[in-house]
Amino acid sequence: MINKTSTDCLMRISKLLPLVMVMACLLSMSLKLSAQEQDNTQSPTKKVTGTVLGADKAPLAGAAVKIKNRTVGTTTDEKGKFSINALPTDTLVVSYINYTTSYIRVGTKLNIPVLLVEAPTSMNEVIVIGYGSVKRKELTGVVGKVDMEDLRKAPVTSFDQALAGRIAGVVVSSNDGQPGGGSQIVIRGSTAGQDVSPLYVVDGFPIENMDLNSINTNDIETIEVLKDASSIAIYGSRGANGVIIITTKKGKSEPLKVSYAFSEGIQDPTKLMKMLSPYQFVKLQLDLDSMQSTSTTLNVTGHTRYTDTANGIDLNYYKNVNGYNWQKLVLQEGNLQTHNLNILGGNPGCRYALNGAFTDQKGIIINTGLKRYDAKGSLDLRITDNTKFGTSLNYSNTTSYGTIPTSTSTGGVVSNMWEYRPVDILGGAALNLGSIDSSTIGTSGIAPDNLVSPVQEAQNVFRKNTTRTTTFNTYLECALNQDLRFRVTGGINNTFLLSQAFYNQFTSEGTLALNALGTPYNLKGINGSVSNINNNSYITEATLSYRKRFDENNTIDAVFGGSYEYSKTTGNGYAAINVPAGLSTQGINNLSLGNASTASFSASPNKLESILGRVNYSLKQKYIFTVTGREDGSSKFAPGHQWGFFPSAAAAWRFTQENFMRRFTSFLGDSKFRASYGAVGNNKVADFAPLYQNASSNGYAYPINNSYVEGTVPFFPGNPTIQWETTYQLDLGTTLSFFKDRILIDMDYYNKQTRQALLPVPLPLIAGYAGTGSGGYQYQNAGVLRNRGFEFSITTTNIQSVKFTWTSTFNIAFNRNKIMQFYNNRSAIQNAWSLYGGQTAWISEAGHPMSQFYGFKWAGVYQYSDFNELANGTYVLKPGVASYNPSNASVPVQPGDPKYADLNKDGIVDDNDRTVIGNPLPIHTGGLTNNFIYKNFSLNILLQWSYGNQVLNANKLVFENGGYYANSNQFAEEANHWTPNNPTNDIPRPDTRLNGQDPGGETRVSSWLVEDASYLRLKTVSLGYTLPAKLLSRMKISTFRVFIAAQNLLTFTKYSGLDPEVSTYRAANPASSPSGVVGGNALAGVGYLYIQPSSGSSALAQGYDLTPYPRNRTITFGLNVTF
Amino acid sequence: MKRWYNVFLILFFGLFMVESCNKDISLSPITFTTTSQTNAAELNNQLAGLYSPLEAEQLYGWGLWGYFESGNDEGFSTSDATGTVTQSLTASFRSSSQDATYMNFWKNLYSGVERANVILSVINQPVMDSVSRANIKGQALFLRAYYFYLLVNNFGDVPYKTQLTSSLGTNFNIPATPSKAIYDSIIQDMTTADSLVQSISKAQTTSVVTKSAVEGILARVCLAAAGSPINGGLPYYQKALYWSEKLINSGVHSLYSSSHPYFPSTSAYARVFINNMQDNYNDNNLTEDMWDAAFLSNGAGSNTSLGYTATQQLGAILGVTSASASSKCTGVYRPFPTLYNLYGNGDLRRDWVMSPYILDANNNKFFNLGVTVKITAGYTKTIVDTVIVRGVPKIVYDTTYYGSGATATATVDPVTGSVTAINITNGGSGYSSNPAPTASLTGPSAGKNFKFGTITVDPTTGSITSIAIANAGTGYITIYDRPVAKWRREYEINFTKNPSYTSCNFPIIRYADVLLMAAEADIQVRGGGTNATSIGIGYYNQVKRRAYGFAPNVSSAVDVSVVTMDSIKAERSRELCFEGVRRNDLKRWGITNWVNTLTNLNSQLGIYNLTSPGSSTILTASQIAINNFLSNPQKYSLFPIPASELAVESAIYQNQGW
Repeated sequence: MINKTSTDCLMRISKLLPLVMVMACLLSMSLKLSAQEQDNTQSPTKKVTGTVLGADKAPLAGAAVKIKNRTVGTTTDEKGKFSINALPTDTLVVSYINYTTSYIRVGTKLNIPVLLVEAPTSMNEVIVIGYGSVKRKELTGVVGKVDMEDLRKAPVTSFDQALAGRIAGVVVSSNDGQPGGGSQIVIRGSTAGQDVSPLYVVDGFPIENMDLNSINTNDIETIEVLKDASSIAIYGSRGANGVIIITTKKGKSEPLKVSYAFSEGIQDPTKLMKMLSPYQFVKLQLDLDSMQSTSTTLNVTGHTRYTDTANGIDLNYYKNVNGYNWQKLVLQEGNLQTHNLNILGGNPGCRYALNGAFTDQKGIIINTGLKRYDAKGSLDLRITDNTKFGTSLNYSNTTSYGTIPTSTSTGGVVSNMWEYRPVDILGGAALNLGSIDSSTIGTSGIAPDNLVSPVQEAQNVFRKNTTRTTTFNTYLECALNQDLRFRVTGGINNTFLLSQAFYNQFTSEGTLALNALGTPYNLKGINGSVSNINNNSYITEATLSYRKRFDENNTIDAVFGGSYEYSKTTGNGYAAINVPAGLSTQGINNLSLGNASTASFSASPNKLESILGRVNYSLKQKYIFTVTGREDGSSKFAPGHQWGFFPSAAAAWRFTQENFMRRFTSFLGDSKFRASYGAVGNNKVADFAPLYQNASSNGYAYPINNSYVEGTVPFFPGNPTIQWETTYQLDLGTTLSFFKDRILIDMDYYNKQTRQALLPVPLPLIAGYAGTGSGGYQYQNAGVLRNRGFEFSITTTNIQSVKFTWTSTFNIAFNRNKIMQFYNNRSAIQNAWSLYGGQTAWISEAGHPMSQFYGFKWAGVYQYSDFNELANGTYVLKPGVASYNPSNASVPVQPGDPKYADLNKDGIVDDNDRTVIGNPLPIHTGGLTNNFIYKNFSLNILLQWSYGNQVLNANKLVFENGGYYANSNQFAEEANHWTPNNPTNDIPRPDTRLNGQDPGGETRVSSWLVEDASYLRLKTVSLGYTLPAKLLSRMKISTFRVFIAAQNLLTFTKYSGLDPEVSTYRAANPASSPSGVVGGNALAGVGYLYIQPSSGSSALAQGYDLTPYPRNRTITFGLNVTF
Repeated sequence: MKRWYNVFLILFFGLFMVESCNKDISLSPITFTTTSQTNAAELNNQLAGLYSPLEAEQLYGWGLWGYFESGNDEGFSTSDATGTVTQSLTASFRSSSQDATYMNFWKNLYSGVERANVILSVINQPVMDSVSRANIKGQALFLRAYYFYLLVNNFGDVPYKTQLTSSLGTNFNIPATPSKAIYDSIIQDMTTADSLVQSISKAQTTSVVTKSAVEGILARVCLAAAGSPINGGLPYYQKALYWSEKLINSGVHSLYSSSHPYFPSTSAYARVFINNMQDNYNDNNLTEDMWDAAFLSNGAGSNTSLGYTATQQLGAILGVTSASASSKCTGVYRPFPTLYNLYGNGDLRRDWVMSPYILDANNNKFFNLGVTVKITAGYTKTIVDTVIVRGVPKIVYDTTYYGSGATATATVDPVTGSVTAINITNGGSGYSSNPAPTASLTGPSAGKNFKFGTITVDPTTGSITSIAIANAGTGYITIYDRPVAKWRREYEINFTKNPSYTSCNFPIIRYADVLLMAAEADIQVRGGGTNATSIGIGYYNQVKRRAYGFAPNVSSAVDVSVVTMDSIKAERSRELCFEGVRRNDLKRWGITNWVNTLTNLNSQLGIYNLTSPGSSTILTASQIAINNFLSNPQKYSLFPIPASELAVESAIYQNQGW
């Protein structure tokens, strides 16, 4: 009884965690003792006057001026003036809310000016916003700031991996666990366009398509996320998906500081799938035999392969066979090592920073990994009193290598490590020794899926992607007078991507194996390819900033400027086939010995011209107004549609500054209400989206009199009327501070309406354009979308004492997403998956969320009771039992086949019976960080979750469906498949199919595959110890910290796949070259650049799981030293 | 210093201020051209792009001579029995509007239409001579009309989209145009094209559209519009007669009357098809062939991975069955017995259409298409040893065989497919009744239930004297089960062969078809039966004479004096079978006619070997196809509008029944 109650109680408490934290905080406050000071001074006093000034030299009214150790005190008047009687030996104590208390020795002075410095409270924290910075208390917009200290607690290869759960409304999801694989960052719900990634602004320079690997986490000073229209509008055109501002470390006017950070960690897969045991596998093969046998033809394939009853080898024999655990053979213990050296320093005239880093990750799949070198240097000079000059150079080289596990229905190492059979065939070569599985050889001309073992494939595939990013930025800033500053900046950003691939004869792509008729499977033989993309961006901006305090009540802060950006992407590549086996020992370096196969070239430019301005007006430091506007012209649109104007307005009311609120200051600190409304744009379309483009390729060539004439065809359907997508966002929020910032609450409601939403829209085939997708895609302003939601975050200092500190940050965000309207009478857009001839798996319908799973309702398995048995032993469906394959079909439905609901009750299960079967979008997401500091120990724990989202687990169709490929292994669940003796409704009867083929059409997108993918993850746990300063000072070390950190330690989820955080769907780039066409000048349409590894994720097709790279659990040891 | 700043400031911001926000900041594309511009050279590439849909799998790579022809009375594909690929489902009329096959067929045709629209919109831009310009314009007009012909013929009422896609903006909801109006437009465009394109004698190739192609296809289109379901009647028959006779009277073409110069043992009839397989390299094929869908790359050898379309499966799946590794042919297309019986004695076409032989792995001809008896000597096994192979005990036997050298053949009833007799051709020696020899049936057989009876061995000579039949079985290969082999890989000239693809040209129209169309139009216009004019009979007799090895233009013993629609129907099958015209012929002769033809065929198939529906005999697929067709002839006379198209286009509707 007691137990039950206490568990209940615990449960309740855990649900009310935020409340508990608040209570704990109050408790700790009440324990605090206040001491009364004694007054025992008798000496003669003199009258001392003074003025107390605060930030911007504004007089502070109501500041407390006391004399230390005495009960004498006064407060300043409205002009900040005070007058007090004091002794020369006295010390004045001047304090003001949110300012650091100042102690001033009276001495001989009679007039004492006091300049208070703002306290480093969160309200005074400087927030970097577009083209400027502002103190949090003066902020009108909504900006989330990442606690970099926390973020760096566990080493990661790029900052996005540690960003999840940190800021309300910023959803970071990685597609899978691949090294260098990148994440999708969505701020306040995504728009529908092909690229939902936010705009990155690094040290003031906007970068579209940023390679997140090019920024070293240790070199980041701050990360800020602009969320509301007012903040974003200064970036006008490109802020529709939010803006992430990254500021890197800069030298300070202080002595040389050298810090070095090192970490080394091990990585393990968080989960392995449970596969069929050798016994279960052989049983499945024998079951398949009987399923495929008919009254006239006996199928004995499995029996001959695995049993030899004459010699006592029957099914039971396999109970004692260990077999191969391909997952264990393919996966390894990964390793992550990072080194980082930071040198900062300077004097008032010259500040410098140098940063160098090295990251080496050995992936958890053999022969995969990532290596990165970073170097950065920055220099800031004060040329004259009024002129500053600065420059920075950043270079980053990231190489990721190894096989790509995520793939379509055929191939891929993850797919193969699951499906490769666990036992040898009797009399056949051992699977781990032979170079091919000869038992898969048949007379088909198409190479079998399991020809090569996954271990051999992973060991031999050579794939290497190198990304080199070079950024050179410079600025010149002059103070024209006290109020006016002029700043001009220039930057060059070069991103170079090199992709290399080489497939030797031991890989399935380069195999020289012959089929049973003696014909090679692979006409390309040993082959390889090299391709590269080179992007150059140039940007120059000039801004004029004006900041003037007219009097104590009126302050204006304005910025006005212009910006010009030009970007050009070129790409080229070639491939070679049939490299002679004897001459390919040097791998890709022998590519020239093959036959030249393809060559391609592409180039595409775009530019953006902008005028921007912002005026911030502060009235009485209580009412703050911001008006922002930006006019952008983009070359991506046709004349007449190129220019868009994006205005916004915001207001904040620091209501705690009001007199009537003074009496609450004991517990309610500097708090405010905020409201903003405005428009931001989006131009993420191909560079030449308005033009109707031709493409030429060998694929369209035609032999005229036996001589090929290259074909030129209409390829990309332009849209001359395409224009800016505009998102109108309303934000209402409040920032509350309690008990001197010990509790800080941010709450926001937002409503974003995206009009003229840009979308690559599939055209009907009658358009006759040959481009990617069935009928080609046309960029259209397709409709209206809405994202609205609520964000809440709370930061608390629960316990603060000399020895022990406990702080917590909790955030939660709710976003609802809806397509309000499609234009052109369109009702829905469907997206297909890659399995089984590309059935529709997602639907985006007007009036509903942007992405929903669409398919059939699973209704179990056809049982004997659904059939009449005919005299000849065949089973014919009873009248009234609906099916997709009636009895007169060539492959009629049989007992054990999957059953789908006949929703419209017309007796036939066909496309009209499809419905919405799930929703990949979460109801809420969030994170909870707890920091504990005890003496020199610190402990950081981050919990992160996503609730209410579902995943389409396509793996089940391949690995839990009775042998997608003949002879392939399955998940352990498959052992429970339907048999006459096990009439389960969970898993259909076993049935083998050829590659990707589905003769009976029984495998469909259905609710069977949709699973709840809510999860709660113990994302980071980090324990650190800082060596005592006394010890260190002797060694001239200022800080020395060691830590041990773990990531992805635990995940609580009901999801049956590897990991609930997954998205393996990749949309084709509609602006890319002719698809599937190799060779020839495929020149059309390159223009929408995909550099980020996450590019290609589509907001319309989320939550897809098909053979992802397993997620890893990382445990790292590291140290940070500062000299 | 300060002044310098000010000048700079004024200049810099001045630039922005001066810029009107309507300023055009467009950039020029670097690597592609737009559809609104062209030049004389690019026009040729655009023309090639306009032709390229002909090479699509759904057109002449497979569909139009293969799976889309399903449901006619000439033949069927045995691979349909298991229904493992989408195409076979289509072939068996078991398809749905979701099938990618229909989607791709539709897509290729409309791509061709838009490519023509683009050419026609820019044709007057380049500086070039008027003859070349007219020739390109004519080809574009004709090909657009031809693609529309394939659309209207297969899908019925479709959007007649002759406007440029670029003129449609973002609204593609174009309603369908009634079929008859589309036919009229097609005829009009083709008529215009006839006056624009060059003659075949000038082009000297069958791979481009010439007057011959235009006039021949016009005759075909007019006959289609005259017949069902358009039922345009007499005016269209008159047009068909006009165009076919215009071509005949031009004297440009004639039937081949002699065999291919390189292959003198073949018939004159075979020459067109040998030329197709040889891409007309050794013989330009201009005499009888009028327009080919041209293929060149087979995807292997020097063309590997170069991206050229390699889709042609003539020879590789339709052809002489061959076990050869490099020039494999699955030979899955088989004629119906009714087609075999349609040919008279001495008709040379029969053994070309259906090969009397197949090929083994070394390309040796193998004439016995029936079943072969394999005799295995009796043997004894004694255990010699037990060895451990990788942990598994294996028993090693010593085997002694009793007898060798016996051979036998099986006779199969051509009607039932049952084995009627086993004939010993060589008794062999050394056989014993214990251990007794065993026999099995081999060869390209798909029958079932056959069981051997006792094998009698003469105890004194040790030779086999007789083999009894315990159960005659059914479904064994008969003489009718020859592979359809109009196009044979033996004549292929590619250096590196691809087991899956050839580069065989497909004859879209040839002179024999024109003669028979003229004869048919002649009956319809000038009266059939005994009223048939001598002109029409003459056209018919040309085809018939050549078939029997006579000179086409000289009276012969096989001449007929009366030609009826029935004789036309039969002769078209004999002459043009598997050339992709039969299904449309049946269709235009009326749905009732089509239904009757297939009902008759179906009942015959029942007699042959379809006693138990659902059994895996090789005719199952075709029977399912036919049954499905007969269950709803209206539905299956048209293909479904692709589902993906209906999902994105709101002004068109699905065809009835789909």
